[in-house]
Amino acid sequence: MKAILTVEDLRVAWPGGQAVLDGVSLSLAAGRLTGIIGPSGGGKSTLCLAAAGIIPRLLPAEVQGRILLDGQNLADLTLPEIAARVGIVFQDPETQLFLPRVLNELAFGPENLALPVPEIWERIGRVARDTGCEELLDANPNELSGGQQQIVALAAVLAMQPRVLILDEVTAQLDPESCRRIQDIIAALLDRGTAVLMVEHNLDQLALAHELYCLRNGRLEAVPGQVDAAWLARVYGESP
Amino acid sequence: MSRFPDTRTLLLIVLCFTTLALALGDPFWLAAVLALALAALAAMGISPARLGRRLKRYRGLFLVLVLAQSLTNSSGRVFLEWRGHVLLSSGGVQAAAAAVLRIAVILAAAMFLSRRNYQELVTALVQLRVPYELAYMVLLGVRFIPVFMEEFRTALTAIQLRGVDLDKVPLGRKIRIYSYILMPAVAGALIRARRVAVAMEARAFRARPRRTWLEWPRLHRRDWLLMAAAVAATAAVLALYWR
Amino acid sequence: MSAFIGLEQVWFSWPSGREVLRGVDLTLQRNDTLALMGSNGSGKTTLGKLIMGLLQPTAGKVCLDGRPVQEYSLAERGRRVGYVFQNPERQFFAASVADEIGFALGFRGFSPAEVEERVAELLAFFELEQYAQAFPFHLSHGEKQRLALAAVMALEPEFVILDEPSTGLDWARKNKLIKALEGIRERGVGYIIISHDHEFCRRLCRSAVTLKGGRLT
Repeated sequence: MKAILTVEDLRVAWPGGQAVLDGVSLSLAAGRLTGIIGPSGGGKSTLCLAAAGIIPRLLPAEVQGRILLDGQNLADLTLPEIAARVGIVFQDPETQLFLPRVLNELAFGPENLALPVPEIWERIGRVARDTGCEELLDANPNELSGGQQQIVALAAVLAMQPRVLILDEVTAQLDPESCRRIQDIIAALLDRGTAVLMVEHNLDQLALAHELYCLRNGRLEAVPGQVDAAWLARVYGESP
Repeated sequence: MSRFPDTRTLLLIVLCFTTLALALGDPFWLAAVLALALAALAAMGISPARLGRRLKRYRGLFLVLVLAQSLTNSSGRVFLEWRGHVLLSSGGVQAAAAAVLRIAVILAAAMFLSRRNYQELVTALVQLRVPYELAYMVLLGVRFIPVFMEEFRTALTAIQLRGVDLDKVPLGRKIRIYSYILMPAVAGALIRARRVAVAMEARAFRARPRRTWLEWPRLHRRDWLLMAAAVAATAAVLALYWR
Repeated sequence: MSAFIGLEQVWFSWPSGREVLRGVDLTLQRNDTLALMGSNGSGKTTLGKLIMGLLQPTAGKVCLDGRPVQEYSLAERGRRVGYVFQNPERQFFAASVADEIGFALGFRGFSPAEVEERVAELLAFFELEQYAQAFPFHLSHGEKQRLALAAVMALEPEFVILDEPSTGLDWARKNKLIKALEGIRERGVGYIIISHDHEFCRRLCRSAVTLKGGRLT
């Protein structure tokens, strides 16, 4: 299966600090979900930010290695060029939503891509249905609960129809029903050929993963078929 | 999708009232302009009482203005003097009244936009040929002030929830508390602002020199008439005032 | 025994008109441990804020130790009921972790030496010693959660409300938080945990209620 996004021996260090990622390599292929778990501070969010091109463009860091998007070096692309193909949803929904209505949020990305207005409306209708936020279109995002905000943040990124979707602990604030909806959305995206990179603490949310890795101390290791308490303790650094 | 008045019409009305507020120096003229602004707000369904609530917040500033004008303007009839220094005069009272009314007119003018949201303002600026990046940045920058104020208020709430009764703390210590939380409030607002910037760029902001606008309001005939009336009225007032 | 926290027919709607709570009744004693569950947007955080008096009900009464909660100043409420925000960053205002924990103690009449001792104790209890001089915003999410709880516990409240405390925590940090909350429970301090995390709540709470359609079930 051809990779859409390939990370090759990536090393990232914050200025004046230790390496957060220390030689990470992985491939994201069309229609496949790659799951990543691991302890806090292990580099998961840093990997997401680097894969989305936000590091080092908006968040300065020392970067070695390379990331290829459809064969092109990410370093040769501008952030808008990357954003048109790679979507990222962060853990904190509050700062991902900055417009007065949910409708404005869903339209923002497609508007930036200069899509025709009828197509934007069509995309808004579709993502609102898929994510279950049709009734929230006129709502002020600031008045929504944290979980609802997260759903809207995801919908806003999906409206851009990215080829690669990066989800950084998006289910953290979601109730079980919303988590199930996310799983359905991911399944539909995989069917449509989207490559998905999903970072989670809860393995249950990675049930659809084709590949599962653990990112610890900046290094990737494969997750065993059977995850038990002893493995969790070794990975998370606690006695079982 | 198009509302009346269009946001551009409202921006022009704001500009007209602000121009009058800055150009007029006589308190009677300023009072007349304020009355006109309040009547226009009422006609738009915006309660003039809201202006009263906003003005209350600035009463400290008004007091300072009145004192400053009284002490620095000694023209006209003297009401109060002390050892040869004029403390209160008719000139000072007029200047103080004009300063207060000027601020009231500007605040009233701003209220014309109170029912427009941030997206509508951005769209209006772009329709007025402001580059869209600048329109978003200006309005995000303006929004930074309420974000910072909200961070400050949240920090004050957090302090009180830690058992610190600000009403019972002596003034000196209260000032120390406020200065203590200023840095984290600024840092918090800046961190939030940076995250918003990242979120915007991650959704392809500035990907193209032009972007589509889902909602692109059109000016109606009534908007043109209202704009013409606003400009004509402003010109007439200025002409009469300077005659 | 009169309730420590009492809600009587509490209704709440946002200014936009959206009704969130419809006639909620709830009574809790000081050492009760309650899980408040419900789907996104059901009003859990709103209920937590009503109990703290950060929001006013549209109708009904919210009482703390037998008196309407609004009769207490915000500081008095904070001394008696600790509140950990859903986003812990919202309650940080100090320049370092140690200052964050010790800030309020200075106002309670503790001497600098006593403040230092108490802060050291809490840093150790919540496993934050290595971050004592760190800027709170630079901590990881799990560390921020523990810091928020440490700062609240510095005041030795009688009760604590925690809004989604396990959100974003990995397995180890969740266990650490559970250990910390078990310690608090052993000291006789009750709490309400607002959460979706059934397993987390099952380990920590003796009872659970669910908000659905604005009502408690």
